[in-house]
Amino acid sequence: MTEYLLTLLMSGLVTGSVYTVTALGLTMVYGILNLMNFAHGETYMAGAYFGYFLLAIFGVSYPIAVLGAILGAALLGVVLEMVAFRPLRNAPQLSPLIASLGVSIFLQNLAMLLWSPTPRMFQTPYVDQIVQIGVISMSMQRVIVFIVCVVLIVALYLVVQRTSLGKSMRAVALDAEAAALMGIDSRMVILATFAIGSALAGVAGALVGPILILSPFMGVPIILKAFAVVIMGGFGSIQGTVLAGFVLGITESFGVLVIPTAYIDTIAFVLLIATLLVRPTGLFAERVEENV
Amino acid sequence: MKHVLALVGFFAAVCTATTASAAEVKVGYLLPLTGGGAEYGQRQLKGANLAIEEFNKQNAGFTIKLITSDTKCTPVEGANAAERLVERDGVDVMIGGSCSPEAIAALRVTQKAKVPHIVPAAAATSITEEGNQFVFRIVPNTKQIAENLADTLADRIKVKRVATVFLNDDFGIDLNTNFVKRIETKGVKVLAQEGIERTTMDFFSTVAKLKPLAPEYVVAPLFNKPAAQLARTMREQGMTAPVSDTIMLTDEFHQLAGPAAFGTIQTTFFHPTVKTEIGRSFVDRFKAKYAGELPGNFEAEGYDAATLAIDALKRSGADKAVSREKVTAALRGTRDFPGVMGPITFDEKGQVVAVASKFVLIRNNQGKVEAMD
Repeated sequence: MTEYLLTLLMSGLVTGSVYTVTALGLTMVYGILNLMNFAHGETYMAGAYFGYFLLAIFGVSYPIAVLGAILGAALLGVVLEMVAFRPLRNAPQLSPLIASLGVSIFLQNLAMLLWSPTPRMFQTPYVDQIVQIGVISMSMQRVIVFIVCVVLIVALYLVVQRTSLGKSMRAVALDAEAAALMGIDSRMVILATFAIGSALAGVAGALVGPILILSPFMGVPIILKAFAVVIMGGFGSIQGTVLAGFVLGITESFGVLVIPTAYIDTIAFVLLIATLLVRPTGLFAERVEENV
Repeated sequence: MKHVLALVGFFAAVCTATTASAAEVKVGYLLPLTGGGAEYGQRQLKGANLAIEEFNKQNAGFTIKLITSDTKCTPVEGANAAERLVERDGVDVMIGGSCSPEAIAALRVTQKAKVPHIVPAAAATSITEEGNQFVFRIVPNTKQIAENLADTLADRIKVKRVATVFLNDDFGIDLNTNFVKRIETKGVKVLAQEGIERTTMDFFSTVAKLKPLAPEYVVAPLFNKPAAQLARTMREQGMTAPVSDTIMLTDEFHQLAGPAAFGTIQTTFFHPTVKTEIGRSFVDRFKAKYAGELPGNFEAEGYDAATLAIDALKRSGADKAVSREKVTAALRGTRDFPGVMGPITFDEKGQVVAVASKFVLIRNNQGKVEAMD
């Protein structure tokens, strides 16, 4: 029984770390632009495919493939910001939201056209390498997913809190106009935010791709979870997102004890509704005034 | 207006007359040739083309022209494609139905036009349950497939404890319910039944739940990729029980799962290693026509559907005149037709009788996939 519970805990930590990293990208863009970017899931999908092609077609090693996926996803984010979102900067708030929906549908169909709707398996040497951690066994790939995600979460926190870029980001999030008056190039800051946020989605995709199955629609389930995490975490709060991401991952994992696997996806929304009932501003509502 | 109608009627009569007396009989084939199910369609067509080619060389008094139409595996396109073949091409026999929704939509069209319709693949039990007098399905339906799998595991493999993982949709639930019902009557314990969504790609928690129950087989009627994913995750957590699946698996599963697929057993309709004489001969002729390619379920379905259509046409006297009514009657009277996927006899609903020889049990023996005796 302890073995079973520990396995579920590990599984929850791995899933939670992926939810967190994906949701962090989403929450960063939200914090700065008040934009819920629906296309974030497709950036995650693209990251997984970039990694897959680099490894399977160009034969580079897995770490290089992940790096490639990060760069590719960041580039995709920058292009999307310039083409789809920047022209709508002064439009009503609903317009960029709908634009992001459009981009999401466009990218799914583009992926179907370019890469065919047939699902693919992303094989890395680490998938079949089994490691024994105490009484439980899991693949090296899952361990890598967890470690890299945790490193990324810490790195992102440090970037936002300690660097001048992070300070500029927080300034733009507080008040873009005032930040611009203080000499901050808000366009560059927004671009950088999109690049970092998309890179996070891309790296998440390239990391979990090998333990999932790649398809042009793989971004849809993860974006729903990431939305729930962002809202639970209190829109734009890094600490809140991290907490909510891990809570969701672990709850889902232990959920199999009480409900059938097919209904696991409902947990995210039950948690979301429960959070909104108890704390309507999310777990960490530190910036609630800034966002209204 | 009256004249125009008379004219139309005249032309229609002329057209029908020429079709009936011509030495060429048109057989329609509805297939998914593009989209998600394209592979199934393309492979069925190869089998059907082999059958037609062989027949047309025989000088049997008439020849067959096979006309295909793309259903894209969707009900809308299925109905449109059937409409095209019936109205525009005036086919006298229809073959088709790979995905169940597409088959159901197409059958409405052929039933209205009274065109005999052979269903080669679609498995939904309801297809032959709606009183359609023109439908003839040559493969076992979902219920028969589920019950055969249960019988095989209980009687041949002699398992005592299984767990199931199934798709939580119409097809998966139908399959799982019938399987569990049947195998429980045989005294086999079903330890867990885990429904999953089509989007489920990570089976880690599911496997963690199954492992402590220690089933002898995990019965998972899933498609290649999720099944491979499940098998690999089971090995990852140190489960040694093999997976058992049914008609959905192809060679791709064994390649993807690698050593995790060792021991997998699967019931299916046809496998290139079958030991029946008619099956061996089909494999040889197929290989000769298609540069050594091996036929599987889909190719056999296309071949059996086409040879059955030809046989019914022959029996209805198509060398003299083609009559849809007579072909329908001939199909209805089919008794022990020697198909490569086993004998074909229809019950009063047009459903093939699921005798045990309609199924073949295949097993992955340390990487070598072959039919069991």
